[in-house]
Amino acid sequence: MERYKKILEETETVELEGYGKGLPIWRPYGMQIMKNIVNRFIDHLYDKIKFEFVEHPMLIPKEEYLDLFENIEFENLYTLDFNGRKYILKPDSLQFNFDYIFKHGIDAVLSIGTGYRYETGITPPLFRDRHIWPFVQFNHVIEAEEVEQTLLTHTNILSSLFEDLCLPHFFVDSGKKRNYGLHQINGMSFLDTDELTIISMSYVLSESFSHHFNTRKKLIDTGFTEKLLAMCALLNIDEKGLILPSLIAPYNVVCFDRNERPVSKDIIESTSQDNLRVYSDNSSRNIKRKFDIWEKKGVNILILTDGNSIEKVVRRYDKKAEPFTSVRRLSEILKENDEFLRTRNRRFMEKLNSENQEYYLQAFCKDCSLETTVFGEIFPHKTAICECGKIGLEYLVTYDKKIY
Amino acid sequence: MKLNYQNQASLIRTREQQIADFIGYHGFTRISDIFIIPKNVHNTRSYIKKHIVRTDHLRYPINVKIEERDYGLQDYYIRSFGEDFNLILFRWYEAWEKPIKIYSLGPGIYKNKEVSNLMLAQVFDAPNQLSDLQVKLLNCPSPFEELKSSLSKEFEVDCLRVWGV
Repeated sequence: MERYKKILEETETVELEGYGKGLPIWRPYGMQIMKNIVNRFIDHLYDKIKFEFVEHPMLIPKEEYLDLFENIEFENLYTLDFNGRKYILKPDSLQFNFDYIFKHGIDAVLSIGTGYRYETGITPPLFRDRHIWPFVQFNHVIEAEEVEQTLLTHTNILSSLFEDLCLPHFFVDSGKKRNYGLHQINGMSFLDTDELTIISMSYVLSESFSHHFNTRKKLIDTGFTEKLLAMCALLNIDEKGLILPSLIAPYNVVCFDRNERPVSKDIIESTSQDNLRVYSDNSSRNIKRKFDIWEKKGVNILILTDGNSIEKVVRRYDKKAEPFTSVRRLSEILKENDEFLRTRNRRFMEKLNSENQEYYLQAFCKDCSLETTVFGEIFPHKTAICECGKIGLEYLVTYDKKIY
Repeated sequence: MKLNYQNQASLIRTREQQIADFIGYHGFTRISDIFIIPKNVHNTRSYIKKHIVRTDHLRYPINVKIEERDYGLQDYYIRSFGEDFNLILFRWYEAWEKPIKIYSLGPGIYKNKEVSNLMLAQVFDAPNQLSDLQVKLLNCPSPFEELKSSLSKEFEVDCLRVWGV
């Protein structure tokens, strides 16, 4: 778990201790990766659901916040007096998002904002921070009969995103979440220690929320955070540093000249096709240092030039060199890069079906599931035969219910 | 509900992009913005022979009391328009490539109200470069409604601060 912190700081991605515990400061490289992650989500969302973007203030009048969450006790809020009025620092955008939806008669909104949550104890940076950025929250209002299909759509969108990030993943329906959600669908992945972790959440909110907004419709809350980048830094690495999935890398290709001359414009132009993000490093650092820096930062392809010719193309994922043949070949290398990561991370998914001490998949009928510590049903729900012979569903069984 | 919406997301983003383009054109790189900073964090001192040589003092111009569950009212700074801010720690100053030209852009307090796009920028460079940059920034057309700057010191090092909305 410790290595991701070192890598993220050394690659100038984020200063994890930032402005204090749980207040990381993102540097330009990290901000760009996170923006690329969010943009992938938006692209997948556009394909499936019509929505509007919304922005909200950081300061929420306290009485209006408590009006919505009257039945729920939150212990992780920051409150302050400002200009003679009591405010809460926005912990998330749920309240604003749904209020906007009902006020404007639309079905769905997306907010890409910030949240503040009071946290104590040992909280791994980017896994549980006090300042959460980005806090991507998608809220959707649907008819009751559309719940199953909508949750499926949301999880498909998230699954496409996790595929882009080359993260191993599956979804679990953990059922009712106290008085907050009627259903909670968790996107699950794995830490480098093989432990399970939650990387996204989708809720069907409880009746108290529908009642507050005076509707019989169902309210869906889906979101993810900065944790996705921490997961990439945990799983998509090798001894040299990051291996970024090509769709989120700020640069797919970095070029530099053998004799420390500026990289030829013709080379930049010829490689900047096919949507490749290309950067030329014309700094005065020596070649070895440039290789080390950009390899550590996880750039997919390094190109060494010699004046107007390309001397070699180095693939980040297997560190092997090849002669330059075409731009199309560079695009192929990006696909190989991502397939390499996905194949390597597939081993985590295989653990689910093996004799693992901590967690595994097993079929239970409804009665037998009550006698076992199950984390939830695999989603989409899968019919399977229980050991007792009855028809049941596939469940994730864990010995530790506390997965974060 | 009577919440004060800032729901014109595209207008806010367009404005953010205009400011980012302007300040980026002048060679600044962006770090993330944080709305509140605990007052006591990282205000550490480094000593040589019992003499304080550097003092970290991350800060924003306005002080507020924020209630924390376990500790009651605590002192914080809130991101706000004004001269008295410091965005970086001394160890970052030492480690980061020079010259350092950074800015943050996001929500903040301006004339007692929350605004979406408050920019705070800080530059560490040679004194003549700082004054040249200051003149350049203040004399060219910019997307800001109000833009101010000052030359002073942080960590006993010359520093240009620029703030605008």
